[in-house]
Amino acid sequence: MEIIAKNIDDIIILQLVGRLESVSVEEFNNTIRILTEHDHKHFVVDLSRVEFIDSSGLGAFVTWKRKLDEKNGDIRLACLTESSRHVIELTRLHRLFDIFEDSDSAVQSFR
Amino acid sequence: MEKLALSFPASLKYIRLGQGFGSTLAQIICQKLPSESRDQEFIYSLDLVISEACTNSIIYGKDNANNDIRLECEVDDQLLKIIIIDHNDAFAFDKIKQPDLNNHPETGYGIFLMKKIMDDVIYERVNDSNCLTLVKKFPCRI
Repeated sequence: MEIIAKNIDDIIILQLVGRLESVSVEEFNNTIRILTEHDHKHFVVDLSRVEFIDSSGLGAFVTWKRKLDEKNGDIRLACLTESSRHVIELTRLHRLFDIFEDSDSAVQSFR
Repeated sequence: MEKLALSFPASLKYIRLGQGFGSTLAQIICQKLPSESRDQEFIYSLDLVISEACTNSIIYGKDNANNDIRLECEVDDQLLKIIIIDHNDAFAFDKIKQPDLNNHPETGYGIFLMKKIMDDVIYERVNDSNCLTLVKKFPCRI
């Protein structure tokens, strides 16, 4: 999996490319961990180029949502593909996360 | 009925073999379906459930180079049956609780997704092996 990070006024957009699964989830966790260590706490995860998410990926989103809540931060989801939306809705995580049609809207929601 | 099988070492680095086996088979099956029934969700679902099952076998498995995972697939004109066989310790599959989806836990979605997506999920202990059978009916006969 490739992760493309962009910083817009201290809001970090992470565009994930490929498969977020047990093999690659540590890469995602490490990326957010390093950014939080540098005091970033507002994240948008752009899923437009994600081909596949399994329960490891979903669990990582929940873990970081909880951790960032404690710092008054948040992780918000944007640009869900049909398959990622399906698995997020099956697990009812659409009730936990703020979900946006595009990254710009997600960034704006932090302001 | 047609039968196919694949074995690979129980390591996450080989998990794509299992996923690819399931999703490629789903693509082949979909080619036999009428075009209106060809379903990307069907292909994605098989990729996902095999991924979840194999990940569990690897993560909860014995640290043993000989601990292979075997996937067996059986296809007829109405359904696909996938059997994931590992040599780990037995586990109480029927006692695994469904995650509390209203409280959004961090773990526990894997078996829930298998049960939600597939038409049937059956666990059996056979000859010191765990056999997890996943059954998916086709949207129509092929």
